[in-house]
Amino acid sequence: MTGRNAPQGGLTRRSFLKAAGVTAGAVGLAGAANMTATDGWLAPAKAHAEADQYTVCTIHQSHCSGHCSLQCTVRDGRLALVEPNEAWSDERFSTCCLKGISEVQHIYSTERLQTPLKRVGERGSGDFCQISWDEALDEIAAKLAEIKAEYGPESILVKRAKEANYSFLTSILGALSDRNTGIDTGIGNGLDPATGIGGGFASNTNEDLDWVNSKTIIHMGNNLLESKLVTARAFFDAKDAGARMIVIDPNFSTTAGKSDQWIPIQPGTDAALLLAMVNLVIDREWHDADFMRRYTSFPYLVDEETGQLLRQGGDPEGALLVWDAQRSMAVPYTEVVESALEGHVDVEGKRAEPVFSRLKREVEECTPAWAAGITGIDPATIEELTRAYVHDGPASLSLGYGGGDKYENADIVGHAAIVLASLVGQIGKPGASIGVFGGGTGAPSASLASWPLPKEFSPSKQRKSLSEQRSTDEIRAVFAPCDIYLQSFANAAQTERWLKQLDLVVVAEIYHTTFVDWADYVLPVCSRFESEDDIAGVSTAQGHVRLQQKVLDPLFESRSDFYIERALVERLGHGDLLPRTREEYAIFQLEESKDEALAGMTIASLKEAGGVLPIPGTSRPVCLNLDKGLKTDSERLDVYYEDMLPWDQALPRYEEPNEAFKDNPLRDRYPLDFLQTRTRFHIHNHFCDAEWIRQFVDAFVEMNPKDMADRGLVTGNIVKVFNDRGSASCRVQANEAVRPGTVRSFEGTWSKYMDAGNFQSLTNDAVLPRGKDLMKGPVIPFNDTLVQVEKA
Amino acid sequence: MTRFGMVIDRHRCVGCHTCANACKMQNNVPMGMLWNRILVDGSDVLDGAVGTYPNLIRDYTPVACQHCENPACQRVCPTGATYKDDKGRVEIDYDKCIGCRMCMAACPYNARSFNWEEPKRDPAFDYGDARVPVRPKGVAEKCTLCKERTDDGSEPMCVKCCPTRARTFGDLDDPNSEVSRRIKEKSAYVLLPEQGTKPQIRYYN
Repeated sequence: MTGRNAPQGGLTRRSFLKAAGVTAGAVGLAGAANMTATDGWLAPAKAHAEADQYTVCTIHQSHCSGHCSLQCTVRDGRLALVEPNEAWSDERFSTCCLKGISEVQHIYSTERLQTPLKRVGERGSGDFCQISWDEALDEIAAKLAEIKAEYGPESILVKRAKEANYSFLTSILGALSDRNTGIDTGIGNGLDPATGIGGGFASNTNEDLDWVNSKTIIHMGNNLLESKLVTARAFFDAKDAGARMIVIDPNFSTTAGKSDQWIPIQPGTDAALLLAMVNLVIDREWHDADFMRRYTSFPYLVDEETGQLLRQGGDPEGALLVWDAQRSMAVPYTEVVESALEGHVDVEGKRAEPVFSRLKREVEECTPAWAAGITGIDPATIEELTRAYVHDGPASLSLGYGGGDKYENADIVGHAAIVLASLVGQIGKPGASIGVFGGGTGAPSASLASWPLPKEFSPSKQRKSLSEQRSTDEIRAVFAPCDIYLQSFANAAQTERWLKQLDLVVVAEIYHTTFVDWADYVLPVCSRFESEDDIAGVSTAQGHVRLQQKVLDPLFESRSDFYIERALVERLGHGDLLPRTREEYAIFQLEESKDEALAGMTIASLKEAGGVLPIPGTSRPVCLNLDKGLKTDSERLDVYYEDMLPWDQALPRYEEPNEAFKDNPLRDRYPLDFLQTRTRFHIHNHFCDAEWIRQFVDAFVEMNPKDMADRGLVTGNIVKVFNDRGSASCRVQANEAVRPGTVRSFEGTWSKYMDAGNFQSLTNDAVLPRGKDLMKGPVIPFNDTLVQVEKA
Repeated sequence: MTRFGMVIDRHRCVGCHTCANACKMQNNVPMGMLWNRILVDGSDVLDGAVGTYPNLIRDYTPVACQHCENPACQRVCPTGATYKDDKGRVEIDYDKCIGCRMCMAACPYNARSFNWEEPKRDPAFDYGDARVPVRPKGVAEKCTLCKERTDDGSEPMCVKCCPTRARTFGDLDDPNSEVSRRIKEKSAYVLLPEQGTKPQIRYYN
């Protein structure tokens, strides 16, 4: 591999179009991957003319929120074509992207795990020998039972992942199931308690198709034109319909380049900008008092001494109180009155004020000038942004996972964002919405039937975050269907120390990811395209039910997660409790569902319809209807968080990032902010090894040319990125789009493609003390990291 | 007459490379080659930008064979291997190609690739559309406007797979076709007009 070349091979438009006759086809990376293993496996190719060909549909990854239904052509037993399935009821959902197409190569990758493996060297050495499935499963089941008997079920962690979920095994063992399927909970932690929507992931309140009704859309720390490619359509349709797109991002992202305005911001300071917008709204009296009274907790009375909300009769279960200005008395919030939003009142001997009064006082200092000093955005820009959000509505505030979400203070971003939207009523109307958009969240949904297990089988509840458990010896065994080394923890040195002292590590994976090298047993899983049964599964997304059919038999000796899980549960003595086949499970989920929306739908009708059927009964685009009531305590936008009073965060109060703050003395040694961004090329660590993706990218970091010149670096140099936690080495590339003072990398890059170390060797694993009281626990502040860079 | 062409909305192009891979897959394009690629105007790096932070511009230009009305490649082909077909596409008769690469020198769009070695495929079999001929070592190749699909009434694979629907394919000779309508409405332009090649691939911003 000539992996050191610039991925584009110097083919700028300028040089490409005018330079004639050179080896025009070369794309920089030669890509002549060693295919020996796969060659040996595959049957010899037949001539096309004799081809035995069929097409069938499956579903692709869900954790990019793409939910693509793919039409796959198989010829001579091999995957030949992957195309968007056109059977959707709405052609806007007929999608695929470069990653889906790259599966034509990727499923045959040399990185595929082919047989079960058992560790022979030290843990972490990656030295394995092949063993049979029976040996592997017998030994793993015996060890799990042993560890359970000795240390209790909660000493076994069965990691939940978005793409694979060993929930039967977790329940049968009574094992610990961590509360997070994902790491993207920083902003949701602060936003979702107010809306009762989003489950901690800050999911959008209206679906993205509703953007065509917005006049202003602010994308904050959200490079959706890369990270949520299938949402790009909704972005441009909205823009064509007249929405003005504003992007707030430290980098000139792809999304910034396609927007009407880009506002560069100092990373990790999003909350300061939002609080300045709140300050401006209040200062200019731009808030919507009627909306606040009707739909939010802003009129609720707060005990000025304790900060607690006042309730009828002083009863903790009593109705929340508001001040009826006409009758000059406290009444339950449900009474339709002209409730006071400001002022001080006495209620049964307690001095009280409405939530809004308190907010007004708390954000008094958060002026645009104050925010300018923190964010680097001038006060006039903040004022214009606020004016547009309030007055050029309906407006949508679109948040992201790859930026401000990965700082210790991310919950304050989410909280400040929902406070802002609730003040001005930019939520719950066509075009007015908030959250992380994409992938049909907010679309009509339906519940598939869940396979019942007897009551005695249930998981152990996680009491602290995984990061905190990593510094204890509470967990003795890990069973992971994903790369927890690269994706679930910051500070790899600490992860390695923890992994070394475990009694058992089992990894069920499709590919030889970075974490596989830390396993005692490796179980080769087949890809989404492979199945033992003709019907592989059923799921809902984008307001549709979608069928996963077998495209190919499992390659090599791989097996599906379903049958691996089933085989382990059998060995633990409970095989009779599980569905016998994937097909039986899928039929049960769909045809035994009690959801009326799925009545009459069968696997056969789904197959007949081409693999996708709309969930009936809701018109689209779906918008949040506040009149129906929210799933919050008062069924309104509950923006005041009583449970965060001990942390002084009942209302959002600005805190600097944990490490990446401006005046941190650590900047003398480590002056650069290290950002791990999301990219179109990968979904977290997935697709790093896909050769059709590696045509375009390999492991690298990007810096502003000025920062590189200061360090004597040029594009193509191998650099060492380092701090006190560790170091990582790879190629560096100059890009003006990168904010000076920052280093940009792609999240999830596998260690084997680096020259040394990996990006998690650098990242900040601080655990936010108030995190234990947040909805999803403390977020891992991956981006809250300072580094220095030098030539390796 | 039919004269196939395409118009590309460069504003909708997000540089995602889906078209590049869709083309690679459909047409069984070997490793080390792409018939269709995304260029960044004025920048040598992936997703680079022109200007100085924070005053920046980024424009993607997807480039493949421009299916010129007046193809420079055809004029220099000594064997007639490169020809303009009855649907207005520039095609290559691989049996007639002698590998002289005059066409590659002539093409101002650098749209052609050459099989210097035995083509290496990863995965190591002929993927893509079974109707696409397999090219041997020693011939030039390039975008065919998905001849096998467009002969059949389908649109090219890059058009079908584009996540933002930036591409519109159709008959330029039919004034009522969507592609003709868009070209007119958007005052679409061609790349390197000074070359006089009259491309049938048009662009608008």
